[in-house]
Amino acid sequence: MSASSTPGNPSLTGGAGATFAGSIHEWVTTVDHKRLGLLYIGSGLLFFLIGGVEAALMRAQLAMPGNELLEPQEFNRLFTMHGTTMVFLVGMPIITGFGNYLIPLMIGARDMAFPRLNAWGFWMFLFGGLVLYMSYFASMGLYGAGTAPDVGWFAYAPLSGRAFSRGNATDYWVLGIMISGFGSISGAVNMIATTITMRCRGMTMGRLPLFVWMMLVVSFLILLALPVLTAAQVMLLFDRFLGAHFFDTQAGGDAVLWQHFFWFFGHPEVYILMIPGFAYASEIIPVFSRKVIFGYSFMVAATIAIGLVAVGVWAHHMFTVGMGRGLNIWFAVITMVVGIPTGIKLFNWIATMYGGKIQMKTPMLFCIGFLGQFLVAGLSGILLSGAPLNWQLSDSYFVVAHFHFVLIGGLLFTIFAALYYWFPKVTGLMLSEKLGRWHFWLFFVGFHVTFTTMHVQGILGMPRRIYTYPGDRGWAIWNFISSAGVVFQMAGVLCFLAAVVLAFKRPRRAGPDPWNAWTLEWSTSSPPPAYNFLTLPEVRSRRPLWDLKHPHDPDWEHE
Amino acid sequence: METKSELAPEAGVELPASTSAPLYFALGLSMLLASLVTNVLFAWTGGALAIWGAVAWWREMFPHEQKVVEPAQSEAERAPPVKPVPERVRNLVAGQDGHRVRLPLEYHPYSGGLRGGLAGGAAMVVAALLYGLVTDGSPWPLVNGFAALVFPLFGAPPPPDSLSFHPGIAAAAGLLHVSFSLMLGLVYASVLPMLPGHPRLWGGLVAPLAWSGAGFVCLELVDPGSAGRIQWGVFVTLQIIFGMTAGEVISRSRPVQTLQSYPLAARAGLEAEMREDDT
Ligand code: HEM
Ligand SMILES: [Cu+2]
Repeated sequence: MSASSTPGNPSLTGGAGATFAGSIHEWVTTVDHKRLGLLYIGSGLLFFLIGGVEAALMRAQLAMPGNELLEPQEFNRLFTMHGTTMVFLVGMPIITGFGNYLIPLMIGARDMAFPRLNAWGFWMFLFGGLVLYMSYFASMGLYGAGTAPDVGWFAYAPLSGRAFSRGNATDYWVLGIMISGFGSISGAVNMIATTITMRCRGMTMGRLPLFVWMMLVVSFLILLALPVLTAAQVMLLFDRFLGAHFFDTQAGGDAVLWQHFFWFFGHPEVYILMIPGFAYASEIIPVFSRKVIFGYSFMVAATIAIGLVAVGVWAHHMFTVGMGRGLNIWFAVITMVVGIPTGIKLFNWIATMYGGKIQMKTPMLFCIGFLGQFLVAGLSGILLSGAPLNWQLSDSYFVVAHFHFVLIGGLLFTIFAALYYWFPKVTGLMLSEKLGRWHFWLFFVGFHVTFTTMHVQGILGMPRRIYTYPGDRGWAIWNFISSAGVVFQMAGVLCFLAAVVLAFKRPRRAGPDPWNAWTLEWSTSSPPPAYNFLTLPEVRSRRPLWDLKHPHDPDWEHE
Repeated sequence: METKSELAPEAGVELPASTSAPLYFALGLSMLLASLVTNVLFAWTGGALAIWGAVAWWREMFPHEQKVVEPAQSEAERAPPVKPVPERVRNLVAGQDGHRVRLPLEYHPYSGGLRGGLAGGAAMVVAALLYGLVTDGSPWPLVNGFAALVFPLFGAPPPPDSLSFHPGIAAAAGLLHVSFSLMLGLVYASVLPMLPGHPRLWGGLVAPLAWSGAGFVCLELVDPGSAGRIQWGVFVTLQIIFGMTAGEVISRSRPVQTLQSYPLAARAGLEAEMREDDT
């Protein structure tokens, strides 16, 4: 976030930061978990703008049948870079950033367990992203210089092999993602070590805020999934540079092997992205319902269950590859099982709101939007998990609608909720409620105009990843509507940027605890000092601030 | 974190010192890898930077970790201590404002569910054999029909004809039938006490109708046309016979109390005195 200099703000400026160069130097050499968190989130948001422009270009091209705004090759590069950017350079850094910023504050610690490794992880992520984007200028592809990767975000073999991807654009994809992947792995190690070893006195595992629990599960998933992708990428590099044949069917290799490797990473990855969204919602919904979270231990258990099941369902992305009846049935059934713990969570969030004194502030609005949209996404996911129906819908716009409902309707909505909720803590300044509401409603409308309609295109048989289509298929009107929604979404994001600028231009002080919340990060000043807590806190329940605010009815009497 | 090196709070707090070592190490590694797609100059520079960064990092930690003392915030900047709020807390009381208080206080034992499932399954078999005898003069058509429907799901071939007795097929179909019946019996035992009103109505009628309907829809979706091969009237009748018998047997079993009716201390596993009427 552009929170670079606020007066009287030790963690954001500090001594040597008086000059511009001095402040840059402070930021690039920092090992402070809060600054690194902000660097992660800030770069994630920058990449979000880039990925958004790529999406808007694709929607402009598809708005009309037979459109010639973009060349087919350009379109292929755009969907590859858009998908790769949004998953690896937007989703991953933003969730890591929030984890970095909040975990030590929430468990009453002064930093992460490995502060320097933390910095290394951030730089690996950033340089990985830069390597990927360097391809737009430096790489050589089938169509000459400066051609970004165009093999899709999952880079299926044999398309990604030497024979079909000439030049080195695909190598940029492999290397960029691999480099940032090392960063993610180090981040996961750090979050696990921090949560296990750095909790303040009284902060037992059973008292961890749900946010921390969920990030712990996410970290284990990262440790399990990302090395598999890295390994597969190394094998692909062997194929491409040294003439190995791992994925080369003609020489005895196996192209489907790549799919298994990729999705063994890829499905856990979607939960790596979504569980943090659950984490934000689990902190925000109780505070704005003025009630304790319903079923804490069930939430923890459901998160662990989701994590376990998430590593056993990968081949539901491969029904159309022809795995055979037995595997199809197994992966269909086990995929449907994910619905159970996920359903438990939805019920618990709703039960938290039930009977509460709900305050419709911007963070809560985004969370409520998330609840409904995530439900729809889960249901379309269950539909897709039925192998026979999947044969009809796979690789169509229905799948595109499904995963955008999850990643935008679910994850992005909760990220916005989290940005509005923790911005006052990070900067000491409030964001405008009015602009926040505009942001929510514009984005909500735009999202549904664009993506609810996409289910229809999919059912009508429109394949994904086509750069144009003839006008006689009945898809044109739906595509036009889908593209029109982009305008609203962009307007919504502009409101957010305006709210951030306005917050600095016309500052309204937030104070340490603007939402009357209950977790430890709200007990220190906003922004927190570099050391977080002058004396390390001691807690007796899951809501330490509640206990202090209500000495006659503290939580530890009930837990 | 070692507590012994901690200063008195007011003097400031020791934190790890800033360092550029991780940045150089990361930049070096990235350039080294990127040299695959750029040129060998990247490899040399990257390698040098990575070594430089790694050594610098090592020296951050040895022989002593580099730290700085961050001065404490002035009193004015600090967050004031959290104070009690004047508002009273309104606790939710079960039953108040129409909040639901129906919790299952008793459930049927699993053994009852298993017995009910077996009884229901047996009643169904008897009815099916009789039906075959009356309509086709042979007891086996429904057994073979069941096998024809289910076996392909497990990759086994369907029976060659429908009227004669095939011992292997009858045995396999019987095994499947028994396991389905046992599972359904267990589901009944756990679900029936949670439903309002009469268990025989739910177990005997509503549930069989519901899953027959769901089965019809699913079959049509999964394998269009296959639903036409089933005699739905007979199917639903048999399900209802199962449901009524199983429901009846289960509701006769001696119910077990859930912990819901125990006092809090007993539920928490503490030793507690219980009054006579609590047990
Ligand atoms: C109840 C939960 C879910 C179920 C049952 C489910 C099921 C599925 C299935 C079966 C597919 C494959 C469709 C096809 O390609 O033919 C799919 C695709 C996808 N899902 Fe989900 N999903 C669920 C939740 C999620 C979540 C939480 C996320 C992300 C946060 C997600 C992201 C994706 C993505 C990105 C794809 C498409 C990948 C690609 O082909 O590029 N899904 N989902
Ligand atoms: Cu998946």
